[in-house]
Amino acid sequence: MPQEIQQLNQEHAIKTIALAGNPNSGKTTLFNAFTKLRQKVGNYPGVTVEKKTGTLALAKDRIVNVIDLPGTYSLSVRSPDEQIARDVLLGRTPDTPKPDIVVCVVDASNLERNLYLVTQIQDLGLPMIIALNMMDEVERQGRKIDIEKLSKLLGVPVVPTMANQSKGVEELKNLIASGFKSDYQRQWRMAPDLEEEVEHLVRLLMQHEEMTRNEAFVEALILMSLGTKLINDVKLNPLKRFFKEELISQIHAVQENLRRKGLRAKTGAIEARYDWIKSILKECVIDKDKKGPDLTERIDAVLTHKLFGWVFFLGIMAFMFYMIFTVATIPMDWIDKAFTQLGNWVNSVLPQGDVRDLAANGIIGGVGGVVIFLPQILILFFFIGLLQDTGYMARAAFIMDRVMSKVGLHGKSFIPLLSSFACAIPGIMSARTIESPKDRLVTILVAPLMSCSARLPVYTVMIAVLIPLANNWQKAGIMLIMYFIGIVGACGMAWFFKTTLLRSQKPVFIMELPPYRLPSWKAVLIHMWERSKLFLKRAGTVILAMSIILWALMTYPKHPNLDSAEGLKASFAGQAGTLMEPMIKPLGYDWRIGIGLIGSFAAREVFVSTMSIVFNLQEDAGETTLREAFQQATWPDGSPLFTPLVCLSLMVFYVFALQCASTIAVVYRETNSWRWPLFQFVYMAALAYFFAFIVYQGGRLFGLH
Amino acid sequence: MATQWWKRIFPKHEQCICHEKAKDLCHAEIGRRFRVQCLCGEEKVCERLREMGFCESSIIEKVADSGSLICKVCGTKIIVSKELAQKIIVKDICPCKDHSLGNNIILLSQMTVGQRGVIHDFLFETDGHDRIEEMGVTPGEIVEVVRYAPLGDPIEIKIRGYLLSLRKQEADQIKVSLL
Repeated sequence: MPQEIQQLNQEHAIKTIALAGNPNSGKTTLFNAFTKLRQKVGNYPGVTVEKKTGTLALAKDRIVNVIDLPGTYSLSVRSPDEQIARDVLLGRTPDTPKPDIVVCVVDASNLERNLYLVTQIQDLGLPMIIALNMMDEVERQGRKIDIEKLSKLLGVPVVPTMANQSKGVEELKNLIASGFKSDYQRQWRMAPDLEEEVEHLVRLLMQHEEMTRNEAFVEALILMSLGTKLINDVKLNPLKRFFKEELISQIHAVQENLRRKGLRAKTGAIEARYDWIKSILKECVIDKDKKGPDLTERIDAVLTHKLFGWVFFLGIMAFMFYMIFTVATIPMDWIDKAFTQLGNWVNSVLPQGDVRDLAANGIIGGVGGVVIFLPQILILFFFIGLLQDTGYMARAAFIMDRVMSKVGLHGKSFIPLLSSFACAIPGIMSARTIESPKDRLVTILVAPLMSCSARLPVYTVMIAVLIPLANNWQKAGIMLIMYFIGIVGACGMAWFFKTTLLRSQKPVFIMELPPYRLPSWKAVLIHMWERSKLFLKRAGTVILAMSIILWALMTYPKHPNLDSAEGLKASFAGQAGTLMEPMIKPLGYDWRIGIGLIGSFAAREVFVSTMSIVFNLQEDAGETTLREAFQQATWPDGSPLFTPLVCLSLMVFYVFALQCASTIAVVYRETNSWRWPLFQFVYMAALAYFFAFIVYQGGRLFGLH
Repeated sequence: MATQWWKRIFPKHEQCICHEKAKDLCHAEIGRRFRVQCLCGEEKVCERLREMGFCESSIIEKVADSGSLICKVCGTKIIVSKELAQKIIVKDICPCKDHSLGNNIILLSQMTVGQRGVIHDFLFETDGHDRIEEMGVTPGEIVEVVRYAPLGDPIEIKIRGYLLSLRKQEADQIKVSLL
């Protein structure tokens, strides 16, 4: 009857598809092929795991949601990524619907390990399709996969795809559209003793918690290997569940049983899964004779070579750095000019007054000062996308891990730290490639200690005042010392955080070295575009607010009959500078430098223009005029203000202090709370004060001035 | 908690899954050779001990005991305080019973480039190796050391047809029987 058919269709109507798979399996490429550009990037509530969703048109009027789960090797709940992937698949994430079907993307050239995740997803009991991706590589390797047999043995439909050429995508869509029911029966078996205990626990869970058999089985496996403390504590328990006393004592009884018999539940299950996979692959994969080392091995022989490995690594990094520092300056100049012209235009259109000043100086100046970093961000993320897509990123981490592990960081922390020399904002944003949340946080916390390009103008002016007739070598020498102090500071603080605040049980370091592949330009460009959009949108709003606040602080209260320098002194910022004077006097600074410090909170290079206003110069005064003004500046008693020691102390202050509203905004975005950016600001300010104090007072002790 | 204080001092003692015949070095007989089963102390202490040669599964000889102990490790004599010796859990070397003592069993970290072996067992004291097993490094699987990183750490291995890198610290915990 037609009515029945309709009902059946509605029942099986697919509304949400989840894409699961290992990292480097081509999941994102398939996601792009599915959704074209109808994608949205956000965060899962409460965690910093990225949430990617999009829509897919199965038929003309049939649009379904696609969720791109974080790429994971497993669904055991050890990392936030795995936790989220599992919660979404079980329908336990607020504001994310439970998927009706899972498409598991499997790298066919690395079938054995990829199928491990498949067995875990199967346990959840959701209808699943396997997208057997990278089939072209399998052919190149000279292997053959009997897809029909594989599908039959796994009990799951298998569709061969080449997502990078959009092959197989249509077949996949048709299969999804037709809809089917899952009739999964677990086929792998653990040791009989272990099976018995698992079965016992499954029955307990079904009885006490009213779970389905599948859910109970998945949870039983996790519960069997959890410590007593973890089960009792809902917060630490990876299942985030509260269990009844009675059930807990029964779980303990099972654990005790296992211990007595010397059985390890977790590894028992892992080994059983792999044994099953191996038995399947034996039947449906035909290996041809190998014809010597494959391409990846040959490339690796050079790129991870004891000597050439370094040459290439340093070369690639230097090239990336060069592009960020030089090529980016061209569009940066355009942006700068555009914003200046926009400011001029606003100045000419609006009547004189607060509104004009706010628009021209506050908003356009403030936002322009941040948008100017966009070219650097674009270039950096272009390179990062490229390095990741080709597989070189893992090699860079492989080479650098020894160095980074000395201060407790991961090899992957290297790129974020290096990028921070250009600007901490892209550096912090690129820390996303680090899986371990604690390592990522430490990297974010220390990244701004790397001297960024916005500090350069401050250093330049200070060096000019310090040694007026310095030759280029002297300048470069002092500059290098400042960079060096920053690097040492970052390493020291990373080590400090890893041994105190963010101490964790040493996580097991294990990293896949994916085969080299040609990058998908589309994926790289999308990656670039996404990052820039996030930067402009989220950080932009906070930065806009901060620019307005800073502008207000430096403008109000107004004193119409004072000139700009005295007006600045009378403003809130000026008052704050005056108030700060007793506090910063031990560092050798007076209230005028205090205003500069406050003003440079918008961006460090603003220090220079603020000081120009304070000294009553043209805002765009050249370096020489500014230098002369600095040299003539005195304390009320006539002693010079900018002694060499003060210059040094000020430079050291800028090395350490987090004088950058945009960085704070980005850290807020990346850590999803105000706690870490505030902590970062306080600790860096404390460091800056401490070291500037040491430099100034220490120098005076030695009779310098 | 009165019953817990000693657990806090020797946290790992409790979790140890040493087998029946394990004992600490203080209680070991003089003049005999032992295999280090595990180190039970703070991470720092263990690290120091490993640096001195008291690695898991390495062979040591107890030479004398006069308050402090004298041991022979890797051909050199080392004096170890009683406190430290208590943290070293050893097992008798008895070829007929200890089947983990085949001549060709070494640690993954001791393998040279190009060597192949079969994963034999793990030395991790708790279930710390499940992450490694999940990546496919399971007992019975063939492993090949592909290369060491330019600075000597981490190690790149080939297993189940793909490349994996792990730090020496982890490789120190994996026993391999050479092919």
